[in-house]
Amino acid sequence: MKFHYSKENLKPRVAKLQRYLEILPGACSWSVLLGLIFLSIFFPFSAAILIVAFYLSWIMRVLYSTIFLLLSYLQLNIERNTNWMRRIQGTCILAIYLKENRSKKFGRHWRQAISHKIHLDQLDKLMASKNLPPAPEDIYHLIIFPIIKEGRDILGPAIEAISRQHFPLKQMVIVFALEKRALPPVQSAVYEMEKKYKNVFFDCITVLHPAAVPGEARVKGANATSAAKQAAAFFQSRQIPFENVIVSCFDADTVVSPNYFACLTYHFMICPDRLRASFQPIPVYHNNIWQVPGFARVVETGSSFYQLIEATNPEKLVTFSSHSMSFKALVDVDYWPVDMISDDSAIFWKAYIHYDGQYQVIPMYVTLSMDVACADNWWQTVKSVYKQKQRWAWGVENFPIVMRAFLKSKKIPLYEKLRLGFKLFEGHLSWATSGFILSLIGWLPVIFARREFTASVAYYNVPDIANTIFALAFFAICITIVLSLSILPKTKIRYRWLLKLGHAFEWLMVPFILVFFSALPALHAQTRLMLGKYLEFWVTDKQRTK
Amino acid sequence: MLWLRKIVFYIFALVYLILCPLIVARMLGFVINPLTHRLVKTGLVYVSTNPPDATVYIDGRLAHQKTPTAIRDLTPGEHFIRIELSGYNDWERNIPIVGKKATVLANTLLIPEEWPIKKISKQPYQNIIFAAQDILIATTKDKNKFLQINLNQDPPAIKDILPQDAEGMLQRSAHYTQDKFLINDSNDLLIRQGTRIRVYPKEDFGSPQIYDIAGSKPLTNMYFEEKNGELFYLDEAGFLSAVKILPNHPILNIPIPEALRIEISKKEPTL
Repeated sequence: MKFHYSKENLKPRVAKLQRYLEILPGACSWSVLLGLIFLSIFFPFSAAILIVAFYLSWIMRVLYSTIFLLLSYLQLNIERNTNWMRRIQGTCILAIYLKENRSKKFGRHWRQAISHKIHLDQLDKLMASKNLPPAPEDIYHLIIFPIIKEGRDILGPAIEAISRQHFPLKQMVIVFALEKRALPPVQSAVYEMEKKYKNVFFDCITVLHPAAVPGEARVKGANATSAAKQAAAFFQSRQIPFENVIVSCFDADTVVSPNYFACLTYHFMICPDRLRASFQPIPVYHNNIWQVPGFARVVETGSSFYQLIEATNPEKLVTFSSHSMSFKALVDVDYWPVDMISDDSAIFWKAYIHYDGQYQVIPMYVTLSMDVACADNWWQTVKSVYKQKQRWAWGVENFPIVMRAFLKSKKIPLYEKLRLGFKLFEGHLSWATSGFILSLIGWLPVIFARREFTASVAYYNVPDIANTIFALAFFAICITIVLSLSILPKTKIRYRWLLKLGHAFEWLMVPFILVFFSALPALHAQTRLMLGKYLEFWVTDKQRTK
Repeated sequence: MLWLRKIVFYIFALVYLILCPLIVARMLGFVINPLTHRLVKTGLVYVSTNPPDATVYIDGRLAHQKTPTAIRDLTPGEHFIRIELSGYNDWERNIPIVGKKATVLANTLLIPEEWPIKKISKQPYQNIIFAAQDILIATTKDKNKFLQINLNQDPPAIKDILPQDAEGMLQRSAHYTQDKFLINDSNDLLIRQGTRIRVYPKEDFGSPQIYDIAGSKPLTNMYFEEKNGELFYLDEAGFLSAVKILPNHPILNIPIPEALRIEISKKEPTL
């Protein structure tokens, strides 16, 4: 479907609808919060019933998520040592490879056995689809790094990590999407890197993105789009079909694991509908994880775990942060939105609408590591993390546009529209309200209790029920702590166990984090959208110890 | 993984749909009667005592937790409650239970089997007068002799002071005499009836019982030190004595609802 994926340049009637839909998430979040406060004061019985029902749904969701966090973590572990290059080679000679592999036995190596079973299933699906992939030597990777203020200390390790890939480097094109308004030291560092890596990869180019292009906002998507257009010309000039190119748009601090591109290539090849797919790795924030304050560590580990949980549900998975996709799809959908901050999720919705719902996100059990927002001091880091979360929550800007598209589209099945629309809406609503209800509003009926409520059985039972539910939640937190300790990178310090013990205790900050680094920034973002005070792109502070 | 996720989702959704109404009903006081298999309305009784950690029996059955505790799932009607604590008299009452309602026995004062009375002075006094926080002035038969009693120390320090200093202190102090104190978070009254010092529990259930503590010298003052729950008075012979009415325990309780306070104040006896 042809659809104008933007809030700008709309016809008056559509603009009005867009505005109503922009108001909706914020208005609903505020209604839930204020409504519960009102009920707690004037109708504590009703408030107590709603709150207990909410607590129960929340704990069910926590336990449900914990199960899939464990399973997802297990799969990440299983695939850690997978030889993706061997699988890529095998996929080229599919029939023979399948025959050879079907009878393979792994004895007691259950991890390898599970990985192999998943692999065989994928091969069977590919075989059945008859949509065979191009040869691996014909597949190219385009890696775009939008840069505005990231210097050599941030960008250097990112490129270094790509140069250590198992996948042939001569099939990779690096594009530094450099903003013209970047400071001279940043520009010179980028040009030096271009020179250094020119011969390491198939090519390494720098695309300068001019400032203040009409129709563009000061957002990352505009910069990445300009770079991708140049790259398209580059591939065309070398007669490389877009169908054989996988594009990855990475934040400048993205450090990929050595098997990332091999894993990506494998998933691209194995996916029958590979030209209508994005590929989502598991983002972790390990680059500077031990150098940031404890609360930031917990916040980002929580974000990684959220992605791990989401990875188990590809039907509802939406691209997030650094990810990859078919270059053909990117060109077909006319690149990233140039006036939206949440380009990472917007590109999924743009493609989903463009292909009338025939677009999917394929989870990949491979990690790429980024920086935790970190500034000069503790308070600045608090502000940085808060702003970053607000920017993530600004993904709510997609809601009105997606809803407009759903209203217009006749080809996307109604069930899919309802399912995805509800997930998008409910996700943002609970993001902005859950933390407040759990940590603050849930206690109001007891605090504001009047005579008729204090003399009721409910007055004494609500705290008991809440305590039982929080005890169950603590069990889930304990599992999260164990996983967190096993997923965090190892440090070369003497008393590592002490550091780990400290990190375990950092998880006690969860109620505080839920309010200040989850619910509050989300509510802030929704309120801004509701009031029409649109967010401007803000580059996260990132620092590492040299 | 997708099919597993769907199965687990439907299981969780089903569990939620079953559990949620049950838990809300339980919260409101509805339970399933195991004999009739019907949903019945129940009430609860909340008991906190001073001192805490007392054992509670309801209709002869032992409650699982010691005070403070809430005993749930009580059918509407009268229930006999007994509170026991070693060294204290048993507290027994018939209390009414109403469906979906809580009966609150907050800060129930347990009466010791023997009141711990301490004799402080070695000589009889004429009277004691409150001078300042934790300071009493004692007068003797000798009109020119005054004693200052510092209650901050244990045992209270008694020293002679000059008449002009005593008069100065007494002038500065709000000179008052009191025969009635609200104690135990306003749940009980400490009163003097004639020469008898008594505790009067201001409760809603049954006929209130009055507990005799000690005898006092007629027409003398009393001072109740709230921090330690100690009453200072002159005994029948005029010796300065102290009795601990409230044990020095931290009292864990839910604040007494305003409505209950109003009910209590209505029942204050006229002296």
